[in-house]
Amino acid sequence: MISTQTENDIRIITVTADVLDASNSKEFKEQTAEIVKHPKVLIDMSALKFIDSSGLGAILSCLRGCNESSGELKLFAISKTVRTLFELVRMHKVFDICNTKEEAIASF
Amino acid sequence: MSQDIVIPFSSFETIFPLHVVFNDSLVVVSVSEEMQSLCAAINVGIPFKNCFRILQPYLEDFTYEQICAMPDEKYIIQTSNHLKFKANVIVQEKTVVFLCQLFIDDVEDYSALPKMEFGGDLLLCTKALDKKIENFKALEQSLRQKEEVIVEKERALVAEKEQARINKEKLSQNNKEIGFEIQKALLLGRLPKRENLTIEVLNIPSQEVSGDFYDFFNHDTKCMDLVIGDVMGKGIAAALVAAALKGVLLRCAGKANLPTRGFISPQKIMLRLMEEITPELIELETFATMCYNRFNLFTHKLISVDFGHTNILHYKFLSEQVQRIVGKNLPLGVQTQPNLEIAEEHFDDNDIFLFYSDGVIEVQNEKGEMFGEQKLMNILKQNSTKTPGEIIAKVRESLIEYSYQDFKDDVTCIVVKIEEVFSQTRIYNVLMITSCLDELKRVRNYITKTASKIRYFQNEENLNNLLLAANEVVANIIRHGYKNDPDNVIRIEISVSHSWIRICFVDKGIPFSMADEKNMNDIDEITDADLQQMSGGFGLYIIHSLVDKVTYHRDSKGNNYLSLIKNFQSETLRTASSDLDIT
Repeated sequence: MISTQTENDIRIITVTADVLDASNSKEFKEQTAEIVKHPKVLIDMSALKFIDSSGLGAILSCLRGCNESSGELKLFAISKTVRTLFELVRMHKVFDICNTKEEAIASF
Repeated sequence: MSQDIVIPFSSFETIFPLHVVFNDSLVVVSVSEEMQSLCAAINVGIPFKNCFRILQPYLEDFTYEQICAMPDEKYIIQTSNHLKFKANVIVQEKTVVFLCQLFIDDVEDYSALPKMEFGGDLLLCTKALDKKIENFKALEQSLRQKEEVIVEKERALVAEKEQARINKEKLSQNNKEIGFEIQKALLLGRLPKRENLTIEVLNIPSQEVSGDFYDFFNHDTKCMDLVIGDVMGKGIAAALVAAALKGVLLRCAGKANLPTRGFISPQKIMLRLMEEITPELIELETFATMCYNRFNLFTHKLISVDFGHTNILHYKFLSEQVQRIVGKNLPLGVQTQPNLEIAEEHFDDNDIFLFYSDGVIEVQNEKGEMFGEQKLMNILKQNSTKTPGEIIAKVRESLIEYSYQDFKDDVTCIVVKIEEVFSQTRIYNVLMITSCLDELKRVRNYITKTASKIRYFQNEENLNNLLLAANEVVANIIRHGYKNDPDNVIRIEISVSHSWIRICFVDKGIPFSMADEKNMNDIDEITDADLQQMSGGFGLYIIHSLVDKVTYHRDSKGNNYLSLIKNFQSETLRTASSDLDIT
């Protein structure tokens, strides 16, 4: 469901699942719980086609985990449909969202 | 008529002691002894004028014929020796009998008077009596005849009166029939046959014609107008005003269907009607209540313009409740109102509307209590699964049972049922899932498969919004309704009409109000910092934000029905064709 890599001391979480919904958001949270303690975290959302409020909650818990350890978390490559939900619940204001991986890395 | 009194000759001399008998030549043929003793000159063979002079009556020439002509005459005669007599005359068989009586004044020697002198009086009395009897009999006869005439006249009068009553009744019956004919032909519309609306009407005319009216206007297969109204008062006058009102209405509504401009709104039709008819109604010192309704099956909306008419009752299938649609405008004929309030009501399949005239709720029982609207609402609710025909039958039955006398006013009741989805729904299918979050994907696939047949949902964002809303519903049911117990089922039904898609979720979980819109609008009030702290609670907000309507009800068997409705057809009818193409 996720894969991780490190680039320039930035942990990049790639969501490999195309869906993040109530059925797998718990698993997502568990898998990312440790990773997000890193000071610089990026989440690659490019593969994600659908996200529901649970998925959103999981992403939000990543942000909180990161903030707890005074880290920074950014998202990039959000599909149009996923962005719709983000905008609907104003998450686009809460998250730092970049268009591309390069842009995201450069913003740290 | 008088009976002859027969006196034997021997007695005659005794009864009439003073008599002289002449023949038809007026010559003495017989004279009584007493008479002769008083006047010796009277003898047989002596002519009349030598015996008597007639003092009274005055007759110039005294003949037998004259005597015969005056049978009842009283004579005063005088003899040659100056004795005066009263005399009566009997004429019989060509003889004349003078029955005489002395004038007492003239008698010097009373001893000379005959002893028996009552005979003449008796005869006279008899004669007078006979005459009186005769008169009485004649009078009696005449009375009897008059009485008969009176009885006859009386009979004729009674017959005449009866005829007049029958005529009056006939006339009144005729008037009534004419009234009923007017009402039927002009005031009561014909029931339209439609595929998507089932309509039934109850109209019980009262003893008198009244001003109740209703009609239906079919614009096209997706649009029908219904008007119901009542003119103040009763009788032909009210019926005529109603007919005139309907005439104006037909003209105003007739202009409604202009192919180039689409349909004119009920509000405009009613404004036109009001402007035209109000001055006339004011002049006639009457007013009318009315309610004009448009059923729009594109938008699933009832638009209603009311003029002080009774409420509309709306049975909502999804919530299983009956609610009133209450008008705010004044009756027609009070004054021209600058603006007309309109009521807009969304309806679903199987919803029922009930329109009625005040005659329905004013039916009284023996205590004078009125039937009332609540009873009507109860009937509607209790019979909501029945056909309009059955509901109408129930209303009729209840009214008749309740009332203790004939209806004083017309009873008009119209039931309109929005028909079952199948006739108007282009797509209908069902999916059963278990109460497991892994099923979410299957739900989304199922909805995608169905919705993507509709052009509107071929747009990725439109489809995603629908999927998102449905996803939130199912996730909520599983997590909150079923508390993540995977051994339950959820039934998902999709109906698609020309203008909307409805996804209905049926479950048996704990009831919780996802349809409640409370606290859903305040996401803007949450600070970004707080938003960040939220772990959930977006679901309901998401659902309400992404579809046009959310309905929820729980039936008596514990099934929860939650429906999401998304319109993909704009409400105006002019865009009738393009968007609803199903590919």
